[in-house]
Amino acid sequence: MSTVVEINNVGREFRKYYQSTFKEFLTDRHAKKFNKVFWALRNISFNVESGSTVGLIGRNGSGKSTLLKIISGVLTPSEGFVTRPVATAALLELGAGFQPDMTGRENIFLNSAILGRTKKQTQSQLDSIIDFSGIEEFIDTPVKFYSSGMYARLGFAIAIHTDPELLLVDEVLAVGDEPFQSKCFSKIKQMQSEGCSIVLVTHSAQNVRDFCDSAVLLDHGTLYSIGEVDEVLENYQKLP
Amino acid sequence: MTEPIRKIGPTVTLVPIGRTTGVFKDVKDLLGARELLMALLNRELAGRYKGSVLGIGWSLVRPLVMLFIYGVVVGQFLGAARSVEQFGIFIFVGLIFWNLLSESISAGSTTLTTNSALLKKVWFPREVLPLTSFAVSVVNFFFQSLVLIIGYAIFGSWPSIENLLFLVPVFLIVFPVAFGAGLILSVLNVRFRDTQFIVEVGLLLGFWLSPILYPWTFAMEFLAGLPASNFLQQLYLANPFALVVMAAQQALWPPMVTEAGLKYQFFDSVFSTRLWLTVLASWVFLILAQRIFARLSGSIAADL
Repeated sequence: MSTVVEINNVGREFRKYYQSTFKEFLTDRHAKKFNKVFWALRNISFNVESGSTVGLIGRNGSGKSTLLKIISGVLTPSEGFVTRPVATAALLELGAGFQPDMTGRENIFLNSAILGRTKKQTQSQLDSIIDFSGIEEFIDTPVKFYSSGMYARLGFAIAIHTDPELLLVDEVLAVGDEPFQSKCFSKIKQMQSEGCSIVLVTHSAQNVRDFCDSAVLLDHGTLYSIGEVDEVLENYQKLP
Repeated sequence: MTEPIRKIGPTVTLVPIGRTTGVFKDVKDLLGARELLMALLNRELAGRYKGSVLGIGWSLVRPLVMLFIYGVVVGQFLGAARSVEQFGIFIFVGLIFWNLLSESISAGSTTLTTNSALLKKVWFPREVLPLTSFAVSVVNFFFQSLVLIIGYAIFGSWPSIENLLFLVPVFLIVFPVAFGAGLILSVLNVRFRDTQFIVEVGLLLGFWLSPILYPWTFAMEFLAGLPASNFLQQLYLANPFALVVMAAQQALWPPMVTEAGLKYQFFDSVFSTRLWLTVLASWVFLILAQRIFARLSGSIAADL
């Protein structure tokens, strides 16, 4: 099996205090508090094999979402490198970049373009996207009138229709109702069977068992445990 | 588990803050984002005028009002029109090129902060955003040019064809200066919110320090009377905005001779040299701007 994502000694630091004006930058540059940093992630290295699904687990603040953002490219690592496919769909926040005044249909084209799709590609999948979202009736309504559920449905439908090699899923699926969630999960299963690699952030042990081939446990920004799903889940339980 | 059926496509390597993947790679990424540029441009234009009756026509209202006010106040009240033939055309040429630069720079400087929701959630070549600001002003510029053509028809005089060649260096300066400034200022504005206000003041200065409402010879004559006159004149002419406006007037303002009989010939050989040197400097500036942008843009999502 080949490697689809390579995470090589990745770390990310954040400053605790922050200058936001020239004045502070010039006068307080050497003030001690601005030098205080903390590492949200440190020394993270692992690979995702092509076609496999990795579950990313850990407590709140363990760095799961930070790591997922770094893989997506939204956050830049402070150290280390990440190599990933260009064709990556990140379900970090559904419908990011929707233009409120534009209709659902117009937003499909805009959002797909942001995710790297051409107009032609989007056109050919338009019906499928609208069908999956289940909001045909309101597709020509400006999205500012959408409910948060409709927003998420459309965002999800667009993201999974970008033909990704790698899918990054944060806990966004919690927004939809039960039927939509199960629709999303069966779509994810289908994408798995088509060879799409997935990194899944979740708090649910059940999701990890259902979807993942392996799991990664993060604790306080470090890699605590990696390997078989059951083994890592057991370590998660034993976490002090 | 079944073996993967998918073939592996192109990959991208994400590098730490302060490291860059090189200017050629970045240009390649940017070219790959053409579709995104078009979609964002469409969003800007469609979004801005959505629900308004005039639609894109609003982009003409401001320059036409400026033309009217400056034409009457500066031209008639202050009397500048007496020494410049076809004063309306003269200032409109200056105004549309000034607008092209200034709109693009002021919109570009805030583009990363106004699109923060997008930048925090989705990855794409970030240079696309300042480039979109430039593209929006190019579209506005296009509509304003149509008004200029109507103006020619009204006055019944047209610029000469060979003078139009001056538009080549003009656009070769406008693009790198506007895009480059957008790159640097947008990323600075993420870090220091003072930037956008400094830009406003800077553009105000730039407007009056460019020969838009007065012929450049007026400025030269005034500066000639000051101590260190030569230095001040050179300083005035080193301003790329001034040079763009002057070369645009040379290309697009039909009367090349003023009523006073003063030859309105900007571009003797010295001036042409200056113009082409500015072209060169502008492109060097753009490359430097992109390098700075690439280095600093790594921390955007965290800083926004």
